[in-house]
Amino acid sequence: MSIAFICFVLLFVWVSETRVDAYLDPGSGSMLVQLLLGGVAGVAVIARLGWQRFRDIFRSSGSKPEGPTKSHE
Amino acid sequence: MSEIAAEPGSFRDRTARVFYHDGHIFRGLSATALKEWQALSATGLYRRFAENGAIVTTRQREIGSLPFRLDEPWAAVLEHERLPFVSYPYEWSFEMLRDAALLQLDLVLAGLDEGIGLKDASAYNVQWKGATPVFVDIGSFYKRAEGEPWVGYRQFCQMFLYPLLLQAYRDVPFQAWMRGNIDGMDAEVCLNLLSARDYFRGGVLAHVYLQAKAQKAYNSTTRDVRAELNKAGFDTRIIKTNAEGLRKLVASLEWKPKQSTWSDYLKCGHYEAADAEQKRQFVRDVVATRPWNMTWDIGCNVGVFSRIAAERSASVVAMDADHLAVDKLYRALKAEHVPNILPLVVNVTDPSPNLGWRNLERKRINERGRPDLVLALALIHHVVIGGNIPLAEFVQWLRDLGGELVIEFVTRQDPMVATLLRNKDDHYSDYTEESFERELSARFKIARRQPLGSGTRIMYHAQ
Repeated sequence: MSIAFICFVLLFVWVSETRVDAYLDPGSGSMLVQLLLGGVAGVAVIARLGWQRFRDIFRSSGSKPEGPTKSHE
Repeated sequence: MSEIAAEPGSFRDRTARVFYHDGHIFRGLSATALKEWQALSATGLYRRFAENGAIVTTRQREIGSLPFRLDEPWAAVLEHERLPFVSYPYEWSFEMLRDAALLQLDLVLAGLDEGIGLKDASAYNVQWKGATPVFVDIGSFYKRAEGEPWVGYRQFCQMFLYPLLLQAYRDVPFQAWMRGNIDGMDAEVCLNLLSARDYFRGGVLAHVYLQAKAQKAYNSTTRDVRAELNKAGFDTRIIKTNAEGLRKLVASLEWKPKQSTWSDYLKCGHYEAADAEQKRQFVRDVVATRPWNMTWDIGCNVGVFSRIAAERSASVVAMDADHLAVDKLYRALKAEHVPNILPLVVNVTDPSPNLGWRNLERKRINERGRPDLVLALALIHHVVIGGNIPLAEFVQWLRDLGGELVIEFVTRQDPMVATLLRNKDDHYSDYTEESFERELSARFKIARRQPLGSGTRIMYHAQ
C-alpha cells in the first residue's frame, strides 16, 4: 500500500470530521496519529475507518431526519 | 490509633491514593484498583521489573493489621518502599529524562504481551534510586481491553518525547518548560519551537507535526473516536509498532552541548587542582565522623565530593545548576552502578517551588528531605556575587536545612571572585571573610576552620 494512498485515506478521515463547539478533546487526534505510526496493522485500520465514514455519509444522507410526531402539534 | 497524612499530589487517580504514616508510604486501593493490582502482581512483567528494581517494591498489607485508621473505605492497602528523595522531571538531566522515557516504553511494551496497559505516561511516575529509574505508580497499570488504543501516547509525547527532542535538536533546556507546565509540553508549542529543517529529523513529522494538526482537527469532535477505532479493529500490533519505533527514536537521541561549555570545566578543574587534595581530605574527615542519613552536595559540579560523602551516607543528593555537569555525573554514576547518589539540576538561587493544584501537587525542594550533612563547596561566591543573594540570607537558608555544614569560603583575593566582579559594580560589602564568619557563627558552631594552601580559600565545618 503506497504512502500516497495512506495519506489520501487519512485526509479523508480528517476532512470527514464534523466539528461543533464542544469541549476540547485533543486526545482523539493523538489516537488517530497512532494509526499512522502503527505499521501495516495501523494502515488496515485507517482503511477500515475511512470506509466506515464513507459509508456513514451515504447512510445519513439516505435516511430522513425524524421530525416531531403530529400528535404533539 | 494515630492519623494518616494524605499525599496532596495524589488525587488524579480516584481509585488509588497515596498516604503516609510514621514515615511509611501506603496506597489505598478501591475495589476496581484491587482487581487491577491482583492482575498485575500475577504477571511476569511485574515479577521481572520488580526484581530488577525498576518497579518500586510493593506489598499488600492486611487492613486489619494496620496501626492506623483509614480515611476512606479502601478495599486494600499497599505499602511501597520509601525512596530516599523525591525528584521531578524539571530537576533531571537529559540522559535521566531519556532513561525514564525508555523505562516507560519498556513497561508499555512488556504489558502488551500480558494484556496489561498503563493509564497514563506521566514523567512524575518515575523516581530514582541513585542513578536507577524506578516506576512508582502501581495504580497506573490496568487490564487492557482488546481494541483499545494506547491512552498514554499523547502524554508520553508531552512529558518525555517533546522535551527530549527540543534539547537534542534545538539545545533548548527542557527543565524550564517542564517546571512551567505540570502537564509537559503541547505538540503545538513543540512544533513552534522547531525549525523547518527539523521536520526532516527523526520523529518530528509524525509525532509532532501530524499530532499537532490532528489534535487541532479533532479538538471539538463529536465522534467517539475510541469506539470507532475499536470497531475498525485497533489491535495491539499498532501499539507495539509505535512504541518500538518510539523506543528506537528515544534511544538514538543525543544532546550535544557546545564544546565551549566543556572547556570551561577543564579550566575550572585545573584551577582548583592545587587546593583539591586538602579540600578532599577536609571533607573526608568530616564525613568520617559518623554515618549520615542524607547528604546534600549543593553545587556538586561533577560530583567529586558527592562520592566522598557517599562513602558514609545512606543517600546523597548532588545538585548543580549546570545541566551539563549533572548530565556528565549521571552518566558516570550509571556506568559505575553507584547506588546512593542522585544527581539533580537545581539552581540554589532559584530552587524548585511548590507547583500544581493548590500549589501542593509538587513540593519545593526543602520539603522533600532533611539533609543531616550539607556540602557547599566553591559555591558561596556564585550565590552572593553571581546570584545577588545577601550573604546572611544564604547562611540562614543553609541553617534552615537543618544539617551540619561543610562550606568553603572563597575570599576576595581569589581569581574566581575577581572574575565574577569584573564588569560589575561591587556593592557586595557583606562579602568579606569577617562578615562571613560573623554570620556563620551566629547560626552555627564552627567546629573546624582550615585555610587551603592557595591562601584564598577557607574550609569550615559548622554544626
